[in-house]
Amino acid sequence: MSAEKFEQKIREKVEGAQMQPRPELWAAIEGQIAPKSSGRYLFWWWTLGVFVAGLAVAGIYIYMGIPQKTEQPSLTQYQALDQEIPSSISDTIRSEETRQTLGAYIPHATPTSSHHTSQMISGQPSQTMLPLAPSSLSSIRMAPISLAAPLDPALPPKLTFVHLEPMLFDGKKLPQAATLLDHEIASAPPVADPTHWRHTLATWSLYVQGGIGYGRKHFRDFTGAGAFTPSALSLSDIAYSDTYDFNLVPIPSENTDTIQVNRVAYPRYHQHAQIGIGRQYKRWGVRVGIGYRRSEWGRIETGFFPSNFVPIGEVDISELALNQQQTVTFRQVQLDLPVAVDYYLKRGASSLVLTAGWAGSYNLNRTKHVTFDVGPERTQDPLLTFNQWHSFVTGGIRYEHQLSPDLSLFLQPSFDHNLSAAYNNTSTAATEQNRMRINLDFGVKMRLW
Amino acid sequence: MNRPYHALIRGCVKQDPRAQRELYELFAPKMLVVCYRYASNAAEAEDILQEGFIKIYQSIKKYKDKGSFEGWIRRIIINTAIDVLRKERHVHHQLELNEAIAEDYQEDVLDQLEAAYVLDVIQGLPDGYRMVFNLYAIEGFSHAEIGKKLKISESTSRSQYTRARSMLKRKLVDSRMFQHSYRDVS
Repeated sequence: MSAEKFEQKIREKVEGAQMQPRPELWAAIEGQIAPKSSGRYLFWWWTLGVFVAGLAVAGIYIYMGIPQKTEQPSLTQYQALDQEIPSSISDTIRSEETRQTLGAYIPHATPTSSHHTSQMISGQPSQTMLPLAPSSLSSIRMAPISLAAPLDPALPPKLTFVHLEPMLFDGKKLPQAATLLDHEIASAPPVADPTHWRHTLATWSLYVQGGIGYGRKHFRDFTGAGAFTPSALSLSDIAYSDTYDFNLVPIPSENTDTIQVNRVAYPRYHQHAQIGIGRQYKRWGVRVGIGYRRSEWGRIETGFFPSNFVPIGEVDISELALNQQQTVTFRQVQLDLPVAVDYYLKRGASSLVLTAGWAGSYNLNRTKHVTFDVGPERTQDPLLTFNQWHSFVTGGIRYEHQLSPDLSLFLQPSFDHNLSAAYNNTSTAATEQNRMRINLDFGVKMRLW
Repeated sequence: MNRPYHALIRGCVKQDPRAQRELYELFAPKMLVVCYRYASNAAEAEDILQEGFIKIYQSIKKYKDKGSFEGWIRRIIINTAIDVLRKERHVHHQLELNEAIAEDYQEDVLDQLEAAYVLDVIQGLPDGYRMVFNLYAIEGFSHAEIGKKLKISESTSRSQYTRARSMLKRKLVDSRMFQHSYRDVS
């Protein structure tokens, strides 16, 4: 056998042969090629930067959301206060503000016009200052709250009001089913300065997101993710305060009062699952997906009443339980259809991803649940009709740090802005929905295969 | 241009961990065989592979996109193997071994042996013989190039190759006999 032939045979024999290295070998290589200490510091600097940016955005947003005291008294009917319905149940940070003008009745420009007001007084706890004309007292008498006494002579003629709030009456639930009071108002006095109700709420919670991803060279980011936030994982519930400036026209000036109401808001749980598919080309990526959210969010309210408020009628002020509690819970189940475009900025094991997109959201179910200390009541909020569909634009910055090929940490401050209202306001109340939502997500991503 | 590996190379240049892993998964099985041929045992082969891939990631930005990308990787692995073995053992001092002529080697011996067996037999050669044999017979370097790489003379490379080939033939014949007897027993 010639030397050349032998060499050729040897080559044929060994060429193309493959041996699978032990898995530990890659771990050893990876450990040596990963960015060293500078990368570690970089991670913390970037994390700090993203946090600061998120806080700045939240601060600006909250600051700009403070209502201006320039509203005109334009409402012709009573103003329902209890319009505080979240535009969307947030999974992380949410700040919401509702502004209302508590304007009482039509101003003197139309002193003889007839106006109409209605209120559901049972089955739906309200926090309504309801001015009533004397002519409607008969209707009032039909209500569970008896107002047999004559009008307070200090009040302007043909007008009175009553605070229809069941919880104020020592937790006694109204015995009747929902009763609608219709009142014809013959005339009305001049309207004083408008009053405001400002409500700011911030809740935040922590959740861990697990996901799976599968990627090929030109077809990356097939991901699925799930999150579950039981209340036990909530880091903090932030109490908020409402400031009510009661300045109803019929109330003499000495009855004007500003009170503070302390409430506690708390997310009960948040369940979130989504799958998505995406494609990345160079620095650009596009993702579509489908998501499912189920949230429960609630608040505890204590009773309130101006310290110098004297109700009309036979209600004994001593019976007012100023610390009665009611729990209002919102449940929401929605289906999201997000579309997003990403732009990747990579540096070693770290990535900064700028993301913007749009999402359509379908409300599968949304309810308001009210619980008193005398028993639960469940109601679909009669004053609001939730839209089945709404959509929002999204934007955010995601920071990812890859600890290993299969494990990454991520941090993503983002915002959602509702393009369409989450609910229809079917009442006569002036309610401004907050359409902005701020999120801060952080967690761990794992690649399972 | 190595179009199939273009995105992969760019990813590795940017130190994208996913691209780095993909590159490893793509070439490590083939390169481990190369390492195995140069090393004297499996552990040493893995050491060479590890060191070689670290060099690949560190120098991939210098890759000029000329010639085969796999060939470029292979060259780094081979050079790493030479460095490692030279560091650990004084190769040129071990080249003076007795020549063993395989008189009864026949052409069909290689056909009857499996690749893994042949690799084991190559690995069983003394360090210096194994190095010269691999570089000349399999990688295709000339004796002049081998001399430069191993810092030995061209004639030494030539004579060592002749001895290595003879020893390999001898070992292959023995291996075949072992295989046969092993099969008979089992």
